[in-house]
Amino acid sequence: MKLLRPMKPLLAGAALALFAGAVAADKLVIQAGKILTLAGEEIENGVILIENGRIAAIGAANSIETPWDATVIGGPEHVAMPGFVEAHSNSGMDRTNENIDVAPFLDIRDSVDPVAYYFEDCLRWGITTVNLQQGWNCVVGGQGMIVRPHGMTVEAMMMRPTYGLKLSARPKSGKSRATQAQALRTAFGDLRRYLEDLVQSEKDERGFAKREALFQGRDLEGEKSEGKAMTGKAWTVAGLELIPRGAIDEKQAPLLDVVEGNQTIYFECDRAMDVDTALSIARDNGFLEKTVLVVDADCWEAFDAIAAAGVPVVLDGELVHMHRDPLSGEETEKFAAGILAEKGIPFALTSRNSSTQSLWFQAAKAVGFGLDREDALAAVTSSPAAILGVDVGTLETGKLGNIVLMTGDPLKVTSLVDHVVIEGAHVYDRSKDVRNKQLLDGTQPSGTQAEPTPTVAKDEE
Amino acid sequence: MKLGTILFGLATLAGTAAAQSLVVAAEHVYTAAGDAIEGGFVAIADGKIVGVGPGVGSGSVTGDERLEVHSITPGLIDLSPRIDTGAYSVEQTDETPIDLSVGDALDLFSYRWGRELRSGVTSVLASPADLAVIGGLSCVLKTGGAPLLEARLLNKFGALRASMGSSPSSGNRPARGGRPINFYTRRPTTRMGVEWQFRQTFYDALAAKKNGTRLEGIAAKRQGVLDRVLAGDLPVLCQAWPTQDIRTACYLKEEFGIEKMILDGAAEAWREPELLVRSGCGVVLPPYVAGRTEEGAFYALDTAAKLHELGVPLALSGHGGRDHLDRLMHQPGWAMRGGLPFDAALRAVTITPARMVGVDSRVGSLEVGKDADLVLWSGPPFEPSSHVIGVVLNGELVVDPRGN
Amino acid sequence: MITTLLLSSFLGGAPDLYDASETSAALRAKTLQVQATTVLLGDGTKLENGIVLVRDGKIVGIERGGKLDEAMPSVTHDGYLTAGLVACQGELGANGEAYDATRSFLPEARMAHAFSPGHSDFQRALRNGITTVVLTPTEENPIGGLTSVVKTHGGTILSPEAHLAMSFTTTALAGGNLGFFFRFRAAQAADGDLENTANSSSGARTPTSHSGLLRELNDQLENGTGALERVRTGKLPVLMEAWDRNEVVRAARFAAANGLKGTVRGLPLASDPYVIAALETGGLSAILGPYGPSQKRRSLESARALAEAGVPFAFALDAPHHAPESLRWTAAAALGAGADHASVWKALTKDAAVIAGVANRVGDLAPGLDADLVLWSGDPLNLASRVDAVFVQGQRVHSN
Repeated sequence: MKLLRPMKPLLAGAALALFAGAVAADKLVIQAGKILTLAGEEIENGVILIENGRIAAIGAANSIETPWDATVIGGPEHVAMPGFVEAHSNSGMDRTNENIDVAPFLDIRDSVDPVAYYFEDCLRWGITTVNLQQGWNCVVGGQGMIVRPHGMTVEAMMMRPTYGLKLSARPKSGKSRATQAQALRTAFGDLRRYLEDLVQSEKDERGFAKREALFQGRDLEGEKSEGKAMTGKAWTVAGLELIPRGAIDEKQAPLLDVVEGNQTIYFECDRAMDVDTALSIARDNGFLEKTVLVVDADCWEAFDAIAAAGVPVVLDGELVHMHRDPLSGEETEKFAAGILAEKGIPFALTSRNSSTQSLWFQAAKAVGFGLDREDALAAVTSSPAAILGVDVGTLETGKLGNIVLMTGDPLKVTSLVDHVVIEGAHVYDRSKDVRNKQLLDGTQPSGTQAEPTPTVAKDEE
Repeated sequence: MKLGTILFGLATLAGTAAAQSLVVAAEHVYTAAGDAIEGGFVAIADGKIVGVGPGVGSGSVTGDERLEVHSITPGLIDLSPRIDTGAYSVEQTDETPIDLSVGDALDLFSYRWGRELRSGVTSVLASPADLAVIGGLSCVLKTGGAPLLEARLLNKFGALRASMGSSPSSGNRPARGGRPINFYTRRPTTRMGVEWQFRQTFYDALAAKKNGTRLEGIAAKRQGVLDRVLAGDLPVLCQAWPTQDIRTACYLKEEFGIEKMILDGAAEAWREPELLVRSGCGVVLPPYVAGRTEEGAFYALDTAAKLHELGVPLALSGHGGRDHLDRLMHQPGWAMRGGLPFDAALRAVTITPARMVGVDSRVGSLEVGKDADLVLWSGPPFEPSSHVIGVVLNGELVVDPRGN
Repeated sequence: MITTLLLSSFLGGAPDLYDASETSAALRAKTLQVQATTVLLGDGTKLENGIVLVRDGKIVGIERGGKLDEAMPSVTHDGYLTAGLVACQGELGANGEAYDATRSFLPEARMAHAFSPGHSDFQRALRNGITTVVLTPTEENPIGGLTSVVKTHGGTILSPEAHLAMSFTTTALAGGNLGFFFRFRAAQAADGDLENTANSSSGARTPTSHSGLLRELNDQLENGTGALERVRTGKLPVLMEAWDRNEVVRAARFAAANGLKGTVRGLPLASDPYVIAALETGGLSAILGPYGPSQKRRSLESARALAEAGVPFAFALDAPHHAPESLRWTAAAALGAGADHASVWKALTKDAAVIAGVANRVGDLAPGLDADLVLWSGDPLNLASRVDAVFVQGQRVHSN
């Protein structure tokens, strides 16, 4: 297996070098035989004009004047649609989890690998926005971010830094559901006690930050100079305004943000019983309105509770819950996305994997199981965009210019992604995607070594 | 022998619902025998297809059961469904338990049959797991009906299962784990060893045939099976994922004049398709995975299309995926994405596999006189956005599109 | 609810060939009459104020009502009087002795030789009204050996070879406790020729597959002598362990194809119509349980389904892995899941004795049978009822 390693960056480098040539044009014109705006009527033979990264005009070809200095891509053979939005993913990172149970002070930006195949695959399947959050194997995870799956550095990819924080009601490995719930409560209890102690010590005139600043002959600035009253809804700590915000331990500060309702929470639920744990902790600490549940199809039995709580849902991976009676072996199936739609819960679908069961496939499969086409497409574009609060997901004037050009209808198995545009930059062109060619017909990308066949060493122990 | 009694006793219990008569009309009827019929019907009585044609088929059978769906295809056939009982399906005290049949080692009560049936697979070739070089006989069975071999068996001599590569050599260790302790755990440990075991078996069989050696008991049974193979009556279904194993299987076919050789899991068949054409092997492709698959083989998306263009007999398989997304019903879609025409994709999951294992007179296409095994689709077959909404098995509506 | 023992007089009886109870025989009541408010016979019939007459350890008469003979020693009991219970499977007093890891095919191994009458397992069973048990080898070997039917008191062996125990379970396929390596060594020791063992199916090596198991069993049955020959010729029944439905059907087909008689043990899903059909076709009986507290409803309904189909069945004790209380618990659970009282009761007594092949000695209250009696405070299928006294061969061996 070791032989494989040096190979990967080589190949990835070759592929990315081609994409990296793409530069955001000031003006980009996209032509398509059909435009699925996902915000009303389809446009036959349409044109989209993107200026400074946003859609400046969209409509029938004859209704829009193409600026003479615009770059033009696409043509009548293409179907244009908004880029897919991945509502939640923990791919493309060095590792998805930290060992520490409660680690809100960590930031995923330190973990993201811009040359990971994952981001390449995203473009290949037309995904233009990805909400990266850490994995479920934690109690309180680190802070995530929203990225564009394109760019040589994390900064270049970043769309919204320090967005989202992972909590998990699904037990971290080695924990039971009871200890997991207790660890979650303890995390917030600890925060509260910490803040109370801080206020008390300030009152006891041990405000070291102020003293230190005084000694050094400088003023504390802005928010740091003085605190502000805690704005938590479920509980507050009286006198917190005495504490300069900068004096709050950076390990605790992100959690304070959560309690004050300034951070979106991605709460992981693996089974129906986890939903109740997640909702009650969110309620008890006042961040229910900022909570998004990341649920497994197993959770379908708790969808009524979710509907009542009014929180949106990211359906993680599988669309169908399969239950097998342990004795008779009889299998029953529940189409979870269908139940979500039925109950009016806002929801987004996610990819099963980045190589074959990407968002288009999930949406298509959802249609197969009986979801309306509009709902299925929304669940991979506008719904996740709404959950993330990003200006994408439909093709309308003023929205970000994230557009995918496909060879046919997006839900058809034979349709391929030809071009991807992110904020006006032409970031993917299938004709230049050497790795896609390799996946299609096995052609070894030029300039790369032949990938050695890994030997299967079964007797290694 | 009292087996007959068992058959009778249980078959009556099974209650053949085949007496049902039914007409299914559809916008598209894909018969896998000639062109598709636009706006056609399939009429069913007594478990058999009694009419196929354009129109609505009124008056073709008596009875009032009528259905209308988007599309109809024949019941799907999977030659590599991995629907065995795992390690208990193959005898490992012997590298070549040729006299054994997987039919004796199946769990027909398993939920997995129902899973296949619900997703449109009506016939399968069940094989012993690949833990022996030649694992024994594979049987062709229906996926539904009474959970008894007699009730489901289509062909007891579907194929002789063999395996190249690392799984039968995986190997030189106790069957249920642990370390290779001493020479009593004595399987082959390399591909060479596996190949040698295969060749030794066939050398011995050829020699016995040539010398007219009189054999008795199990040895005679083994020779009987090998004689069938050498006479071209029984195909060898040989697992071979990467190029080296595909080559080995092709060479073995040539060396021993094995008339019918089918390669299973041949993900790397795209590398040397001419070799397959020359050798006359058929191919069963594994479910699609982007890039590397088992045994380190690289699976190109256009493999099916390439083989089809060269005229290599081609079947697709689902390997008994738990998930809807991995099942056989989606494999033709992936092959189409790689360039395989729809008609060829349809044949690769219906009539071609039926022919490969000698059951095409019963199943594999929608023709009058064949078993009434149908898949009813909500939209164009094999598209991910279409679903199997109905299944007819032996004339019985086992999955009702009306939700009953 | 008060048991009164008026008098006991003792006299020795002639011991059977396998009867090791000479010492107790000396203490055996010569004659005794036992009267109870309800006498429950092995077929489920109830006699109000019935009397059971005992002489020399045997039942000599049953009277429906009537009066006690003042001249004879007697016991009157306010409650139920039944025959001692018969438990159809267990390795009492032989835990660890019922499986030989180095030999997979042991047709001549006898559980009778692992019988240890003084072991506390038997006393525990006795206190629960169980007077007869079938000692069985475990299911870990394809052919585990010969079962033996013994009394829980007095060291009596009713049958030294009741069945040949076979196993169609995955446990019997190479694996078990010690695994393949030891079996290979056994093969080597037995044969001295590995190559030969590998390809000739000489039977010493443990098969790894269901199909290989059938090949071995067929081979053994075809060529075997001794116990195997007795099985082949229908003189000795088989006790086939099979759990999953496919195993049960495989076992039943094997039995039918070879004309074997006997019983299947295990089958949690005996309520499946295909399982019942397979048993019916093979003319086989069934040994169910023991059930645990998490047993599924469909499993508990097995007894009802078998009763309705007329397939005889009994219950396993599986001691010492299960407490002896679980025998009645299992029966009560079957009753609760809809089986009729008489069928469940028969499964504890008369039918169990038939399945064990000792119906000529135990399992019912009838003249000529052993006077193995249990006095209960109420209906024995009511779990609130307790054992007040137990008699084995006319001798009171336990009282509460």
